[in-house]
Amino acid sequence: MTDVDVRGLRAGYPGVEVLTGIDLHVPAGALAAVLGESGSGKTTLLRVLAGFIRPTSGTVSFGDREVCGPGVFVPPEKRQVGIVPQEGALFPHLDVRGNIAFGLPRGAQSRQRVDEVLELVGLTGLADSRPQELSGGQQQRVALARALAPQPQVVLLDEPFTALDAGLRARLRSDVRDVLSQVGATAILVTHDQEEALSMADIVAVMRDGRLVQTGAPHEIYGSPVDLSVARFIGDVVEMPVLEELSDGRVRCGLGDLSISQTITETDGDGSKDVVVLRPEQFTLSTVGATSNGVAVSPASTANIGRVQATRYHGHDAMVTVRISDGSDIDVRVTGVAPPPVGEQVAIAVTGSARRFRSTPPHHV
Amino acid sequence: MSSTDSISGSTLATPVRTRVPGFVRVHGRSRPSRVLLAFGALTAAVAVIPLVYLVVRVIGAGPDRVIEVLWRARTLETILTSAAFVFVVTTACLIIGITAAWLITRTNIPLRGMWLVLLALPLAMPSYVAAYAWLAQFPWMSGFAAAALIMILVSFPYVALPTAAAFRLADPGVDEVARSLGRGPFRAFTSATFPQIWPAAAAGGLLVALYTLSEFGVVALMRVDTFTRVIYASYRGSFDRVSAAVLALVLVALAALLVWAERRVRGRQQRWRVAASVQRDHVPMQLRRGTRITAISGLIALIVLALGVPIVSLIDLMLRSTDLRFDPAELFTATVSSAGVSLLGAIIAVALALPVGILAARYRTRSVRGIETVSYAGHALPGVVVGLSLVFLTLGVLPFAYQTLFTLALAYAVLFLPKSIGATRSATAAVPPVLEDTARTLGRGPVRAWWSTTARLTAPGVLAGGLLVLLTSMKELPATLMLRPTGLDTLATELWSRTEIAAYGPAAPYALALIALAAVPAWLLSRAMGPDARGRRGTPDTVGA
Repeated sequence: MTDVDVRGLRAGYPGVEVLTGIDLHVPAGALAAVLGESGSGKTTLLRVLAGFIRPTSGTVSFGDREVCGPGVFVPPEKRQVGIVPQEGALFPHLDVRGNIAFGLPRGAQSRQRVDEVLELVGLTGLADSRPQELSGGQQQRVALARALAPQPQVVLLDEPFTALDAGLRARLRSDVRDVLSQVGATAILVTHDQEEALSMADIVAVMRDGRLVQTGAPHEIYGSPVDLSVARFIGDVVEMPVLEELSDGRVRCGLGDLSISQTITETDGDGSKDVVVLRPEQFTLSTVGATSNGVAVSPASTANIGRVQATRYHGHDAMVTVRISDGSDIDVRVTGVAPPPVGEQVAIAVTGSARRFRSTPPHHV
Repeated sequence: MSSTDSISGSTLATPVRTRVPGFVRVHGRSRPSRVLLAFGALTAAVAVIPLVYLVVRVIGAGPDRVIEVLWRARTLETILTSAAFVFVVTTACLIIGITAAWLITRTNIPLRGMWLVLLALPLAMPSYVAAYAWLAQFPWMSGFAAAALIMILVSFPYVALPTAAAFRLADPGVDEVARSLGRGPFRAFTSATFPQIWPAAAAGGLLVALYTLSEFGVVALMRVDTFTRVIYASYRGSFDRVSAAVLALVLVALAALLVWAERRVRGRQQRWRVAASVQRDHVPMQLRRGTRITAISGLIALIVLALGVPIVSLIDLMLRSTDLRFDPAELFTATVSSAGVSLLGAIIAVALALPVGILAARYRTRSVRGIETVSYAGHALPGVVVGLSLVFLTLGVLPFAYQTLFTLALAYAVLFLPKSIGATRSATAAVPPVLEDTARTLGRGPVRAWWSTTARLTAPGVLAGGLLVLLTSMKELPATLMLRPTGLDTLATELWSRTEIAAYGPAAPYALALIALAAVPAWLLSRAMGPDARGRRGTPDTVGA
């Protein structure tokens, strides 16, 4: 079992520094997702870990073996890293067996190993197929099997699911997750899909402009984003401007008084931003008039009464847009059982507390 | 799925199965109409007339005579000479072409874009013009080595261009995976990258082999006794028609073998494309200073030999000969006669190609495939063979057609029909049949529906194919020499007759005119074969040499 440790990593291409200081620790056997938009540098990070790019400074260690650092650079073929590229990148001139055996020494044992990993990824019987005959999902499974066959210490996955259609993607994600934990490899997955990162990873590292802005367990990232951009990137948000600061750690906004779990002050803005942020599933709706259903509707305020403007129905749940009295729209996630019809008057209640994001101009620091 | 890098792959994830993509009728009317099939069959019949007539002549001569010709020492010598010639030229083109392609796509040599253009330019140099330009400066050049040198210099782009494209298209991920699976840089190249570019290089090499086997001008000027020169000599010098016909048939068999092999390799190459991967640029290999200088010097030497020497030679000839005895009127006349007879050939070719191109683009039945294959016969028929066969045919069966404009135009049409069919086919394949179907539902009959939709949309492509036939015909040499009406001089024959009597200076204007003519097809060809060809579907035989 090998952990991955990245410290102070800077890397890039001639003239462009893409990674501007990365620190990341992935415990042995864990699956880490590096989540970022395209151009954030996540693929560059993966390529540095694999050894395709030589970093300008910083160290990378697999276990107690330093693979790059001052005066040290282990070439890709000596790193014992398995990679699963974006579209599989299967060797087109070799059949499935040839692809998987590529990293193995010749011999009967290799043959056995190919059968083993084929079974592991659920492709028993396809050893003699050619890559062209496989579906996109099968190609990715072969790519994973090929990466796992030589029993690498670390497995790197570069957006391996993006080329697949939605249904296939979900199944392959959970299969890959299972296979990786079965073999106990330390894995790093690069993706721009927040749902993929949250559902697959033990650790999510959010990347922006060449640095990791937040690293933590999926629920931490989702529940306690470090800034507004992360909050927006990682899921749906409802943002409301703060109208008044109350004495007891509460604030008043368009929806009434809310309790604040944490106030985060960002220094990169112009000082004008001051919002509370909630997730759409933190709201519950009740029909106005049926007040005795246990949902606390504050009789003192009508601020939380609104009218349903639109409903986007997804089957398992629905997103309901409610226009409240101050004219702003609030997205509320309700279960798909019986979403309220458009035009219905509803009361909104809040579960849990909100996060408040403020900005101050840089020179106030 | 909001970011841009997720879009590219998803729609392209299915493997490419058919050779020409586009709109094949899969549902509904999957059987072509009988009229169209009949016209297609007519085209196929015309395309194989020369071949069939040769076979008839050879059979008519009786097996003893054929065996006698085949067992002659001269025949064996010809076969060996041709084989050695083709082998040397093809091997050299593969080595030069692959190396050059690798240098300009995968290493850190400067001005890679410029080198690419320079490597494509020799395509605009008709082989016998290059031979003439060298001969004019070095009149002692003669024989196997000299001819091979010229052929290599004009043919290596057929390997270099598609190979450069393959180098660029090859998924860099594949190479990287090989590295992380424990192969060093060199072994990763040989085991992962090379297999990906080899089909393109091999297909290019087979084209070189085919053109070298069919080459007439260079071997004739340099006096190398390959098939084409021997056949031409026995046609000119003796009345031994049987031996010419037998040799021609052997030549066709060898050419057909090369065409078949090229098709197979190219088909495999396309089937190998697993998924259009997200295109990422390759990280160029950093050559050391010494290696880099050697590489650049090599490329410069190649370009100087392939382009510099012939061009400087032609300019020198123009400047030096004060007594050019150059008659602009003669050049004009030659151009007009070339253009006139070639235009007739192009019209015949387009008319013959239309039904076959439409059938091939829209239907995949066995009869359509048969018609298409047979119509491509010209691809495997060297000009000398078509010339010889039509001489026999007209003399033997239609004496009134012997050495007429029409026969020469027909020879052009048969020889270059594949270009016209290819153009018609890809233009038609790009038009969705639903347009024609919609026109039908709006009340038009099949022909009017075709005319008002598909025909309009494919006209530019079809005409471009015709233009290609026109330009290529104007350069054609051996069939023109054998079939031209008395007194008709084309650019190619004027250059030929002057070079034959070592009147190098007066030939220069014709050589320049021929280069100008060759530039257009060469440009199209380099676009179709070159590194930007991704997604575009030109194949070498739709444009060709």
